[in-house]
Amino acid sequence: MSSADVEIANLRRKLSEADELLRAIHDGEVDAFVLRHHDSYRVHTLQGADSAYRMLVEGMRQGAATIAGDGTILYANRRLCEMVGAAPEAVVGQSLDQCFGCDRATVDEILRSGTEGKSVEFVIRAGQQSIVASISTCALEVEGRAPVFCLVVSDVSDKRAAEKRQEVLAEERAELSGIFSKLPFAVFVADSRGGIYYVNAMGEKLTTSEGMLDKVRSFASELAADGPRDPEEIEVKHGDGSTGCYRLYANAVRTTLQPTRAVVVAMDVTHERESRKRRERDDQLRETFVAILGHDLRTPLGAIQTAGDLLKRRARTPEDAKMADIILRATHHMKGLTDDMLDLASSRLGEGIRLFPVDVDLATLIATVTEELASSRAADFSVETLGAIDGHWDPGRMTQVLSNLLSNAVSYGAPSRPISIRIDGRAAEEVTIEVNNQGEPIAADVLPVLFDPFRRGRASAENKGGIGLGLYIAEQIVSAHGGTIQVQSNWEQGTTFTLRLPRSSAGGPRG
Amino acid sequence: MTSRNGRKKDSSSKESTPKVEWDLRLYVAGQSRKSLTALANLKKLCEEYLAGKYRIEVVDLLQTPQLAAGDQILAIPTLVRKLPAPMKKIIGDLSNEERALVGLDLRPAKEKQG
Repeated sequence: MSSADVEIANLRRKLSEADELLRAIHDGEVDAFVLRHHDSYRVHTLQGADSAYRMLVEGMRQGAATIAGDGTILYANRRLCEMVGAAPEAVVGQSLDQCFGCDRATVDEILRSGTEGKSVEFVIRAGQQSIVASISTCALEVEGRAPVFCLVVSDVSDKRAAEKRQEVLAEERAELSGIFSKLPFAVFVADSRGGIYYVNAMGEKLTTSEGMLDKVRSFASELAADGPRDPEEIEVKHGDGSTGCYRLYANAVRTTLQPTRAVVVAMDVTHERESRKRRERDDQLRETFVAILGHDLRTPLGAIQTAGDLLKRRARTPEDAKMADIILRATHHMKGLTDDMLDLASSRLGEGIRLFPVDVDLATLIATVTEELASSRAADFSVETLGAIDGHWDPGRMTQVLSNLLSNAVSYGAPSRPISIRIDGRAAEEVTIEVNNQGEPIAADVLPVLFDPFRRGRASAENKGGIGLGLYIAEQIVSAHGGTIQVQSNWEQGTTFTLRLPRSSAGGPRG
Repeated sequence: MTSRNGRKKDSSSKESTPKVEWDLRLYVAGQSRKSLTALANLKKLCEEYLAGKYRIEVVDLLQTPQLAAGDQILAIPTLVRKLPAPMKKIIGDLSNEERALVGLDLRPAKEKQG
């Protein structure tokens, strides 16, 4: 074959190839071309060849981008542009640090993570919004070309926020649980069908106690939809055979997520109840004792008084008469004391002070009491009356009250100053009596307990002659009449007892 | 379709079989539609006409574009018949079986029309 023939054959082959190429292009059988640029080759795909990928990447719910090694964004999908709040044409060509609002070190970290197979999480700030982004990177190594990085950016803001909320909730829960475990009460949360959802540390100890959980369940099932129920005391038997007394409180807990549940709090009142029982027994014993004593003392006192009267009548010398007087005064005093003890006992034993009310004029009572006091003690009274001062009261008991108040005023008041009595009957329904004395006031710490039994209202030692029951009994009598008694005491105005008495006490003997 | 060096050997004959009469090389661009179509058509055609005596080598030029130089590839997909000689090129996705068979000399060319 001549060289001309070889050349013609080559040309034919080339022509045939060129023809084949043009035909294939024309028939649409190719979708990529190899272009030579200097000494390297690049493949360029025709539009449509990778459309499936483009659609996939554009439609992704994650942001996607390709990044050159220097951090320049070569491509960004629609979602990523939304994330950074910029148009695609503004994003492509921008550097990653500008686009994500981060520093260069973070960009390096993102690109490096591609080779390390990790993902990077950080906050992308774009304008007003910021999102927590999780970025996975992979490096595309292409021979002869600088590496290109593919980024997939997921918005994990909601997830992280939810995790944060979860953490906060868990912390709050742990804190609450901690608080509940420190409570000195047992706490149970139960539903109406008997399910027990929560028991605190104290409650755990009681779950094996016979009767406790059954009661909690019955409380939960009976619980009304709203409002607490009245506390109830129950006795339970512990595992070691001992018994305990618990006061149970229950209330409904309503949430939007759960059906209504009952929170039951059990308080250990074993000791409280024991001491209360003991106190009640002691009180009863004491009062019974006082009542018996008061009653039994009256009989010999009666005998002494009778004998004293006889002695006085038959006295031959003034000395004898004086002795008899001393006996009679002491007897009278002692009789007063035993009467007080009986009054205390009857009021405390639940019988109350018995009243026999009749129509009474206070002026008469005041006159009787003041005269009696003036005869035995150096005392000066000034009495002021306003309006009608009569009413329906027990005269003996009211004399007792007035006698107590006035005798106190004499005992504790300044000697040179008169005791002032002011009776105001101008109101239709009630009469007010004020008894005032000047002098040292009642100590502030004593005032609140002044009307309690067995308390000496005032410190001065002499002339008291009582056992601290006078004011207590006075108050009992006044309240039996439906009235009140109050006291005010200071240096400026002295001490004033104020009685308010309804004109008509409930009427009839009270008990 | 991919391997570390961008080529994948795909042969119906066993590796140990020494005699390969048909050595074919298909140049593709990743998984572009035409590349995938060409590969599918080629396999079908080989199984039908060359069963047991062919070997297909797939070259992904997206991964190794420099390999385009050897066979002077311009468009993708392109099939190159290395053996039997002489070397021949068939450009396109081989969707026209008749033309592919003619290109591979498996069927004589018809008279050109027009």
